[in-house]
Amino acid sequence: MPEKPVAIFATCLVDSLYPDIGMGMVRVLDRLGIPHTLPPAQTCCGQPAFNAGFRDDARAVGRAFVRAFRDCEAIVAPSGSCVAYVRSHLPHLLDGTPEHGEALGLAERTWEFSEYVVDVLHKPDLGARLESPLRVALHNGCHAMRFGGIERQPRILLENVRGLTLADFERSEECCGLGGLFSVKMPQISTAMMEDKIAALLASGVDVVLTGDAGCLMHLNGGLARAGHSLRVRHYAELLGEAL
Amino acid sequence: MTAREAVLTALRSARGLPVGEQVTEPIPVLQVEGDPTHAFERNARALLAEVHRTQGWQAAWQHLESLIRARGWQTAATWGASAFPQPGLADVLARSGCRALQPSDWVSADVGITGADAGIAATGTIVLASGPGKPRSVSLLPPVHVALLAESRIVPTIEDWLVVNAQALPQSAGVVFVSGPSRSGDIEMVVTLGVHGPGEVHIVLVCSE
Amino acid sequence: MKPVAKDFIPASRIALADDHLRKAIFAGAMRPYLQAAERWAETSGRERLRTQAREARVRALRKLPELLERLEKNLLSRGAKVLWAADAEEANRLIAQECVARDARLVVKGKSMVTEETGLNQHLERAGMEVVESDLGEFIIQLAGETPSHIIAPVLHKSKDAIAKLFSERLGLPLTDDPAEMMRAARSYLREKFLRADVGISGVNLAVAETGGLVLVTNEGNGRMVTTLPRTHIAVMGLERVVESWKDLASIVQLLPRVATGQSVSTYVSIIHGPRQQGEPDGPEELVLVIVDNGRSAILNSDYAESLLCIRCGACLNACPVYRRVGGHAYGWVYPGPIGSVISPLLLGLAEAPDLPMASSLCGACRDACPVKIDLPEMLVRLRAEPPMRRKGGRMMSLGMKMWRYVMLHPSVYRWGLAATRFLTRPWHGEDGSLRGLPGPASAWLESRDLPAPAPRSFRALYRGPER
Repeated sequence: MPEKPVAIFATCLVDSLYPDIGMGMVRVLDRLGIPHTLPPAQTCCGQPAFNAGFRDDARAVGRAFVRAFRDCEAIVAPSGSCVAYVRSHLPHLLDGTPEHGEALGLAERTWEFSEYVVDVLHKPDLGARLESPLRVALHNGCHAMRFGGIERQPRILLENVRGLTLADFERSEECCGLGGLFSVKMPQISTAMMEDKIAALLASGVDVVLTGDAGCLMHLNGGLARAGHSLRVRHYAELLGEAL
Repeated sequence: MTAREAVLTALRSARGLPVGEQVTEPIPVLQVEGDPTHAFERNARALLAEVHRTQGWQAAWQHLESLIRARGWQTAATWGASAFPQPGLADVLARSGCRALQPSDWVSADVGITGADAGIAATGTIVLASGPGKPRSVSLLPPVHVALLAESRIVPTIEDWLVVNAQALPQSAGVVFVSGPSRSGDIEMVVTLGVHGPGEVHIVLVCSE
Repeated sequence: MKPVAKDFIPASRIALADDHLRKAIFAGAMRPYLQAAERWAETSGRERLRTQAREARVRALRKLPELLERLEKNLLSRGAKVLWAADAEEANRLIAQECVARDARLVVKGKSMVTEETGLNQHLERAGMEVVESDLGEFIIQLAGETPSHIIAPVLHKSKDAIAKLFSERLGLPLTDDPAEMMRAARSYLREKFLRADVGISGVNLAVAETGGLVLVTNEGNGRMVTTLPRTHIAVMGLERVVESWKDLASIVQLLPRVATGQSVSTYVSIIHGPRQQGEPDGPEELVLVIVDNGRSAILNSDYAESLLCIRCGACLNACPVYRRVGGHAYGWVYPGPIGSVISPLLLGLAEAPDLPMASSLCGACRDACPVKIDLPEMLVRLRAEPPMRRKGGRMMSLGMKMWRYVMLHPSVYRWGLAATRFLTRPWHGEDGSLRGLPGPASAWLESRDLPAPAPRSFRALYRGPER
């Protein structure tokens, strides 16, 4: 068990649009008896600017991110995408800045929520239980899966939820089409990808789709709602928090 | 400055070199499990080549003769007699009534008959090296290719053969690795055989007696 | 091939609207490739083979000038001729000169990406020669007057019916739905060309410096025909396509068919060490190798050198969700898919292909699929940061980023900004808490997707709230 409280990196999407995801994560940490804090100077890690090609802006925001979390022993975030960025891109980007060394250290201490619970806290079974059975599809965000290596951990947490069944679906490893600026620069292609993903999820007949990234959630729910479907995507932290 | 000098100068001063992962030990890949001859047969068949296992050269020539008779091949393009490890081809052709054509007529031959310089067990591939008496078109122009391969020439992998024969390779202007019949999947990914090379490949495997 | 890579966005819209194409690409034609990718993913020794192949390619690029000189020396010693071309125009001119010097009327070609890149066919045709592509796919493309849409499967976009119609019009073949019949018609047409051709022009999959060997990998055997029958063989290679040793070649030649088509081995691997040698009964009397730079040395001198590791297998195309939706033609030049989105801007200039680096959701599927582990997403993101790209994004975009940066650097402004955004977007809030009909940059999103309004209370507000 960590001595110092774990620092929550809420991420900008969860903070501004989906606070319930953050609260779900808090509930899980509370249940596990893990003290936590929310460093107040945090905003964003800078990934959106980096991916759009605005490196100077990403560097400035990235340096602020490092300063906001510099004293934290461990950082946990409800987003594999942000974690993958902090780990593999940020130290590189900050090469030559005063924060470079600290960024390298932060990269080693930053964890995605399910990864933190399974690999750091070694709590694969949260004892969660659902009141009525639920068939669930797990959509892994691309960055989490391919750049962060986060695929196994959410599956383990969900497999241990009583009453929850994980279902397979077609195109499970294909991108939902978000891709940051891509979704507005090339909306037709992005939408085509989203529609195929939604069709595959609908065909799987699940009750709900779970994911670990608020970005995919926003994109797929935006498409599902627009097309009038009742199926929704939720973050697994939120569901786990409720099922404790 | 010639283009050659300009290009080489530009390359010499290039700075952006990709990083590699350090591999200190050579990594063996794609090993062959079990008996290489069996692996060769299995893999060649998987590539749609027909493999005929025979014991000794005499049996091999006899098998070739019966194949020619059974298939009714009238004309043949062949390697030179000296390019085969053992004599016998001329007799086979004479007995079966199959006529050996002049090179200018090979394009109309029913069958091309060659030896083989090696067999690759891991993939079921045969290796043909050009040289005196070993024209390349024999295994290329006719619709059917029959190769006689001595079992002793089978090696486990492509890598094994290339590494051992690296320095000898330039002695042949053209070496070809043949793995089954010519194929294409260009039209709606439907596999069709015999596009430009032979559509049918027979390997007469000559095992030691 | 004349680049139209500028038009990616309109071309991709047309492709997306073409329902047949969309189905053909994913549901039909690509399925075997996707299955091949699955088999490949399960191959034992996969990672070791990838590492070995990457190492071979990296080593080659590190010693590139030395290896090219060794290759040249070895080939010269066996009577081949070696020519160097700094750019496309020079390559075309040199090849045409070689053909004209031999009074060539008919030229047969094997598959060659680099000559697609230089537009060689048109150049030779203007010089009065008949040029015939002999790879079945490329032949169909040539008959149709189109361009390839995939590195490995050039006619991926064309249905069997369309090909049958084309063959009926151009070759007089009665309409058929049997691919084998179409193939046989092409075979007999091309056979006659092979036998009459004065010059054969081929690409080079890889050259091996150690002994001066040129390696061609094919399935149909057209590569063998082109390099065996005509009196003169002209091989054309991009200067990066060399490896040091036969051991290096072995790892790549075992990898290429596995990732490209799912085969354990390609039908033919030809190794050429010069023109016909003394005592050899057949093969070309002359061999000319043309080594083409055309922008490659500049790439080696840039942050994008890693893109030169590419072995042109097409695996990144097959894996890419964007390619799967729009097909190869939308990319507007020889190289489609993720590798094309990287090298087209590098070879043509960013101004000629400004949107390609953005044609990716950065999902990383291409990086996973690449047999030599090229970090394509990293290069796409880097290209987006190049100055011409920034201008292309426009001043609004830059201004937006500056505002974003200011907000993110000032947590108090950020907190206030959230509340302000919620307040200001009120008129567009739907009953379900989503935003509808918002103007500005959000409109591209809102065409097909709802957008949530900022939450009434942010996470940081809740976290500090009374319930804790």
